[in-house]
Amino acid sequence: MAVVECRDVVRRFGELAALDGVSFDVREGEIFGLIGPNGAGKTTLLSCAEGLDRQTSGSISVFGLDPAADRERLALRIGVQLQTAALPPRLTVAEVLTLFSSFYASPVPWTDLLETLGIAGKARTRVDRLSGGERQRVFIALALLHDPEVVFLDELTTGLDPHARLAMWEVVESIRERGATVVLTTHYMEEAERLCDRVGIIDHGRIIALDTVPALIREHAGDAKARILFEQRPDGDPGLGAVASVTSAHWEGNRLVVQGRGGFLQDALAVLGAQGQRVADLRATSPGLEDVFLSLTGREMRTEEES
Amino acid sequence: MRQYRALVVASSLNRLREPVGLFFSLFFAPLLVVILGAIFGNDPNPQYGGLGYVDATLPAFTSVVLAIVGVMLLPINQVEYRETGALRRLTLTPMRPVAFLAADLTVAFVIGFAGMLVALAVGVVGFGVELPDSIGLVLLAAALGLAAFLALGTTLAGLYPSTGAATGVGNVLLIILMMSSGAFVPLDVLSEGVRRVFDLSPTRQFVLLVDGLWAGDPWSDQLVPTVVMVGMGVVFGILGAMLFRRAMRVRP
Repeated sequence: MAVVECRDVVRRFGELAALDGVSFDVREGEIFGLIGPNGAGKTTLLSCAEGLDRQTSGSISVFGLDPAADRERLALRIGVQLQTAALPPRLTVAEVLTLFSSFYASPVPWTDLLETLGIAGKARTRVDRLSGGERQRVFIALALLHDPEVVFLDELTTGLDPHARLAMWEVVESIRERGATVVLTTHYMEEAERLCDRVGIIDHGRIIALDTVPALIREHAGDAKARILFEQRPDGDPGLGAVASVTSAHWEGNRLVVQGRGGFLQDALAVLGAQGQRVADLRATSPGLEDVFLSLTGREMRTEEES
Repeated sequence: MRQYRALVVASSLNRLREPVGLFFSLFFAPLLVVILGAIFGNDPNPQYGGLGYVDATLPAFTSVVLAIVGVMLLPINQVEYRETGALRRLTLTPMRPVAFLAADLTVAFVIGFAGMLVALAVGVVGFGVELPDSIGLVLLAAALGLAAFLALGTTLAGLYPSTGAATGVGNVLLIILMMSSGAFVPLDVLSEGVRRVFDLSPTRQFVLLVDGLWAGDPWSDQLVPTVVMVGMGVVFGILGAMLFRRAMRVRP
């Protein structure tokens, strides 16, 4: 069943179309990722789905409801973490959670939530004195207070150190384990690869590809690559052209660069081993979403991010 | 009601922990009484009809609180909620916007009224000012004036584009309102024309109202200031509520 349905969603700001005909469904129980460079339209799309903004044309439905028109009803069923949000700065974490709990008829006990999120010790700390990672956890706690059926997470780990990011990924997985559907945006490819069941790649306001991560990589990212250094460089052609899973093999200096799919590396090593070749060093790289984006747009996501 | 109560608690804590705002709303007017009282003393003076300086001007000090809370603290606080995104986060909950506004106004009112009481208390305790029999009416008028200025503040909050603008414009308005109240500048030295302009100032009208009631005049003599206060409250109240609703609405 589709929890979120977007059909031909267009959102214009003057001349600029921040969203330019976006259609996709989010299925119940999945972690769905929207990835793309900054300014691609990810946050605009989430804002429309959350009812904070309204699309210029097209339709969005969440649980069959119009997010902008039925915001109050949806507020009970969706949990939202905004990219830029704030809280009354001089309240403590406990005071903020008490305040937000008062808005719901039967909120989850927030002490349990803080425990789960690993910030139970911060209950008496003022929100303006929290670290970035701690603040994000407070916002997640706020998003989960009413045990929502779908949770929107916008750039959850931006600005967090690697350790905090890793911890946050576990939090996202635990949200899904509670039974909620998760829709997240990120411009970190490893994050999408690690967390998302399906990923929509968004660029200039359009979804340019949508599938599971392995399928996207298989479809768009090309082959995996291995660079092999031998103890003694073999004379002539090592004869890998006959291996079905290998798509190409050529020398770069004294390294043999082998490209292929599936178990190509094992197949290639078996052939080389049978020839008595001994491998001194091996570097294998598998393509990721980064390569998918590069192949689809001709641009690198990270360079775009810096500009 | 539960939402309103929780919002009042949160808003109170958030404000009470902000030292600058708290100082200006609670202690600035009393401090002004102390400073000006120390400068001019409170000895009987023919200029004030045989009363001392503090005796004559004490009720007018409440206008300082009005102006500070109305054009500075309330709007800055609301614009800050809007600008930082705290308000946006709140709109994603089932919180009723009217509960937020009501709670914010309640807290501003209580803090402002407390500031007025402290200012009066300083005059009584520090300078031996005698409270008039009509003190109840004076406080009622002070509450009316405060409500009118909170309505003005809500409208200003809807108009200010940023906290920077709120602070800048608020400061200018504050100075104009304090000067034009006529409480701290001897009106006799001003030209007729300037006095006429001052009469248009809401703080001047408020001071006329509390001064008159303090002196024991019946409230029925204060028709113009009363109408001004009630009118401000109604007009800016409606305007402010409309602007607040617009701020809470989804962008088209």
